[in-house]
Amino acid sequence: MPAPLTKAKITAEAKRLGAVLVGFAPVGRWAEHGDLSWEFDPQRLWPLAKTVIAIAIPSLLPVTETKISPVYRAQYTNTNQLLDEIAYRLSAFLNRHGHAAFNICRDGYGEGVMKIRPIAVFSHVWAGHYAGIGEVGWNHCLVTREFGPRHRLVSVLTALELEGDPMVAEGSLCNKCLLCQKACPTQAFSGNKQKDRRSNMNKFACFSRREKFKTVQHCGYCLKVCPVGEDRKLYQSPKVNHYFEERTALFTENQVPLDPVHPLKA
Amino acid sequence: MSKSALTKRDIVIHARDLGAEMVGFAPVNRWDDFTEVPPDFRPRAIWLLAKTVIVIAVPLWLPIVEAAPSQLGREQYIITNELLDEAAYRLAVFLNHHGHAAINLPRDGQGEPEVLAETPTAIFSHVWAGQLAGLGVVGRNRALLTKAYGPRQRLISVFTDLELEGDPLRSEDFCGDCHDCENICPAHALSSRAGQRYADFNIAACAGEGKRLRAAFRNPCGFCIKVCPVGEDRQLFGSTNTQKYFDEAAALAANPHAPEYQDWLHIRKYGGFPLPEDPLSIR
Repeated sequence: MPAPLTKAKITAEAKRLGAVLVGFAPVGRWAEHGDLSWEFDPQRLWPLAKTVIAIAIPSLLPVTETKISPVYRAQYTNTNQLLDEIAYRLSAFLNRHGHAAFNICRDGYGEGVMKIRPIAVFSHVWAGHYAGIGEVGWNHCLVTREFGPRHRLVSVLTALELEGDPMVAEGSLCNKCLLCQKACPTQAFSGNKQKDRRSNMNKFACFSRREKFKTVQHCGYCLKVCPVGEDRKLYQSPKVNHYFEERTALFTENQVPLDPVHPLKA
Repeated sequence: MSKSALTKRDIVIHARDLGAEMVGFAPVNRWDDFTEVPPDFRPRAIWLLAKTVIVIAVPLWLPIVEAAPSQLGREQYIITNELLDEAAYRLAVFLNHHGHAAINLPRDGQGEPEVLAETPTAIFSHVWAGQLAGLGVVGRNRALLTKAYGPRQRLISVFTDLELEGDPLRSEDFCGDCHDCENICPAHALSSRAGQRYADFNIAACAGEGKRLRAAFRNPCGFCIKVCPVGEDRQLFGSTNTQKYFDEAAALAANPHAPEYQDWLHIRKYGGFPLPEDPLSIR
């Protein structure tokens, strides 16, 4: 007999395993809102799915601010591994209690695959959106009250029906300041903020940057410039202007590096 | 370090806390007359002090296993391996901390698939250890079959000098006579004659297939574990019709959009490179 499991129990177990933000999204929300095609509906991935449990852990701001850097890369690798472990073990917890569940790994690409098909098997970002963890912002990241877009996400699909968490009101977190668009070195974001809820994103442009800086990886300027997030207060880094001033502050005119992310190699 | 009393129960609770789903105990003398494992590969040949082998297993989720070959399957393989290695290492540290010498044997013993082709034997068989620790029985496909997950789990072992009572061996042999694992294997790596309990295993053929899939970031193959009808996970995940795996190629050739296969095709499509056997609809 399946033991009764409540959202509170599942959340407590997820947090015990290391999760920081946990939200629940009934699978009906994908069709109801229609942001994604049916191909990326959780029920397409697994017909028994009833609820998606979205889990997030933060990318710590002072490390994220150093982007692009090896320390951020290390943080990225470690948080990914932790997330996968949390999601796997939370699935085991649900299965042990008689509720079918499995985790979708947080990343979804072999080396070089992004160049031909820069789409993952499942969008954890939209799962987080439908689970009320945050809202998908102009930069296509999930913007949360706690960490802005500075976090990593993973999802667990389960056949257990659970009540959905309230979704974040549209526009309450991302106010379309467009700083992400301004900071992006590849001009991956475009759109009309009067008309569009979020930008058009050129994923190929975004990933070209990733290819370029393979050794230290991950640009993420669009994460660090986002002014949203209580983490800014915690780390006493409320202002975002200095990200834009970095280049001119560090170098005199005739020393300007070829690329601001590798100033020392210029 | 002073010795403190540790019961099997303490060890099981700790192992579970570290992420183990199944835990079993095998006294090392169970290997003494066990001809399936050659003398050089028995626990005391590897570590003289060994008294008990603690075997830990974590399951692989059927919906991902049956969508293989996919990048999602590869990620599941990686994370379960990492979890196992960490759990076994930390369990060894826990035993050492209580004054009982212990070491973990890594869950995989090969470097690249090329090494597997040349030296097709790991230092220690966690699979046979799993049987001797009472977790299940070794199947025709040479994977450990458990009641809960059939052959769909990953295994690791911890050796300790602490003497502990062995768990009862499984008396029931739940590997039947279906030969589905042999019949589905795309590399024809498994074959057995009538009356042969464990299939002959052509590791080079299996490793070759693994290497091909790895180049597309879609290894491991695992067809011999997805097809196995044993395991309560089949009920849990609502997937009891194993004929579906055999019908797949013909069904998709007739209709690439056959609805009952679209979930697997979706999982195969993303994250890895296309394979020649993929239907055009996902290339």
